[in-house]
Amino acid sequence: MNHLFLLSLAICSSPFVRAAKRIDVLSQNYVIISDEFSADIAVGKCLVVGQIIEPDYTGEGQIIPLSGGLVATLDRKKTATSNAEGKYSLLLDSKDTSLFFYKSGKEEIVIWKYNFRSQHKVTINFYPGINSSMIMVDKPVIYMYSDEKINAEITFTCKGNLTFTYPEYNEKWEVTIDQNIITENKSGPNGPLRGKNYPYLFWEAQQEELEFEIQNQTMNGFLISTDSVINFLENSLTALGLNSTEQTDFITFWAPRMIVKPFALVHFLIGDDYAKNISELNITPTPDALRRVFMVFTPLETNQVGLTIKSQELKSFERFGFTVVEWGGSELNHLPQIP
Amino acid sequence: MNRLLFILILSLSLQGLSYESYPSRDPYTIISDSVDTSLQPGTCLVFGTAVVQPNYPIQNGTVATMNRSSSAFTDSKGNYSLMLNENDSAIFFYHPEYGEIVIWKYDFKSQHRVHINFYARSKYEEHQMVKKPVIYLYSDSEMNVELTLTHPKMTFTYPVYEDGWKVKTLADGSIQNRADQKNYPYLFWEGESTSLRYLSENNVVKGQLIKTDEIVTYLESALTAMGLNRKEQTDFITFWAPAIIKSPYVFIQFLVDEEYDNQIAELTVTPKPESRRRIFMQYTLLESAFVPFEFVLQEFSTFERTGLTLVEWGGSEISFRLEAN
Repeated sequence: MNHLFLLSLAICSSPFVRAAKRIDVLSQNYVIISDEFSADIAVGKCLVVGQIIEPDYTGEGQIIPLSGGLVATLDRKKTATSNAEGKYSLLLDSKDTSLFFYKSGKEEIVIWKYNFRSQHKVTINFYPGINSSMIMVDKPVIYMYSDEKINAEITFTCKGNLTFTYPEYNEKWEVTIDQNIITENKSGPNGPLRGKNYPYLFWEAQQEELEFEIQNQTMNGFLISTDSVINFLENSLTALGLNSTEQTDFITFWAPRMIVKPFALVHFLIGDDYAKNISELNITPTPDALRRVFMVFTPLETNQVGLTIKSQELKSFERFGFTVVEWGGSELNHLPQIP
Repeated sequence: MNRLLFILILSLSLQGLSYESYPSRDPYTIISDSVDTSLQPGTCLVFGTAVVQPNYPIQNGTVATMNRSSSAFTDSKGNYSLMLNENDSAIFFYHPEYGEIVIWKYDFKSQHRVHINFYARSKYEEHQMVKKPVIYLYSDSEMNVELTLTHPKMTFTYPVYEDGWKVKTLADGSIQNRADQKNYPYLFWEGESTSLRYLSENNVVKGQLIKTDEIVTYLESALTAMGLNRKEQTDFITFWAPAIIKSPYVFIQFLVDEEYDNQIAELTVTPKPESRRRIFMQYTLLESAFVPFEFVLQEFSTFERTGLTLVEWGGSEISFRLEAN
């Protein structure tokens, strides 16, 4: 609504053709104010200027500039910071096509594709909101296998808040495992009751923070073209030792969410990294074999991320005795935060 | 802000821009509210027009109070008029093709005339995701099976669907894809649609309104009644319940077997399964326990599993639209 207010002011004072254009980008939280030829700019260069403006929560239509915001190309080869008036200026090459705005605690804004023409001056204003989006820790499922029938107690502590569990998690899950079937142990007034059967235990949560780990502009992981997402996931999950049911459950859950953009940046949190970043899992008796795999990914419009990607090493594990496999994932809707 | 929005829309429309370029238009506008002493004390007259973008009148739409104590239909010009009691505070507009618009709270004052226009959305706008239908196949002995699916727009399949799936059922309940010799617990597809509607008979819908606190219990009992096993139930519940619990209420209608064939996608299987169950859940998330049409409790019957057995489930979130009778 605050953007609307600004826009309505703009409409009153500018030609309608442009006003209509602004309406189209309303949901994008940036506005391309103008794009004009300028002979003062060197051939092959394009000057981008503009202002970062905070939403006006007073509703009085004031313009509140945001200083210290970063405006940069996706490869971060050209960067600028907004001054006290919220203004920035950035000289691009005419072959550059994308730009983003970033400031910690603010909504990140990406312009994926724009034709920055030679000897042009483009004015782009950004209107970032507060970044309050929680990260969904999606669908961790826990499979348990045992040739001998055993009773197990499962507790876990996750970084976020639980939003859904199945069967219902009340401080713990108490189950019987027979082959690959999990049966919930329930107690009734006259002793134990036989509960329902489950193929896996399910939980879901929301947490505030999760980032790719980046050191010296280098990230362990994969930058994939989503055309080949099925092959990529099949190969990765096979390397990690997941069986065909676990792989199918994983792929049919995540692949449809990954193909929405042409590229994706992917990192797997495995074992201790899973425990450190997402949740700790305690099972009594201790499983003979345990595998925990959590995929963190960001869908991308381009493969220009300004990072060196080092292929993550994926190792298998041996299944024997009481075996537990857990997988989950999170989609990060922002670019990797480069320290 | 509503007033500002209205001025903005007005100024744009004067420039000959269609409403459709404006993404977030309010679904109704209170044009005026004025005293009319010719009205009986304790009553309030509401009148106006219902249109669908950009400006076509909607005929035979209902405008009514939530308990339907007062109701009116729109005429061929989209006009309606409705006499309310001053105690009324909420009214809705509803048309089976254009969905509903609710005015939750308005102070309808005694001896007032209130002019309210409704702006419905075009039926073509809704983009419905037919989500995660999964197909399970079971047989006592290994069997070669071919499946072809008729759906206009499939967005993702696994294993990859090319002119059909050619598979072998295995004794442990899993499915071997003959193309890659790999085993799968089920066949998966996903698609897009714009044509999903609630089925009705004489404008009465079979379905259920549920408080989402109780969604797990409801789904367990409904799916058990329809004959799904625990594995199928768990796959269904863990997929849909997290999406549903985000709102306090949900309206649900299941399309079963032939209804699934007719409304969602036809599935041809060779050899023909001895037993077959296809279940599709259409649902609408709600902020309050309000359903704009009449509905009766949907009942379910189970099915018997013998020989080659096929079970499929899927679902889609849709808005309150009824199939044209």
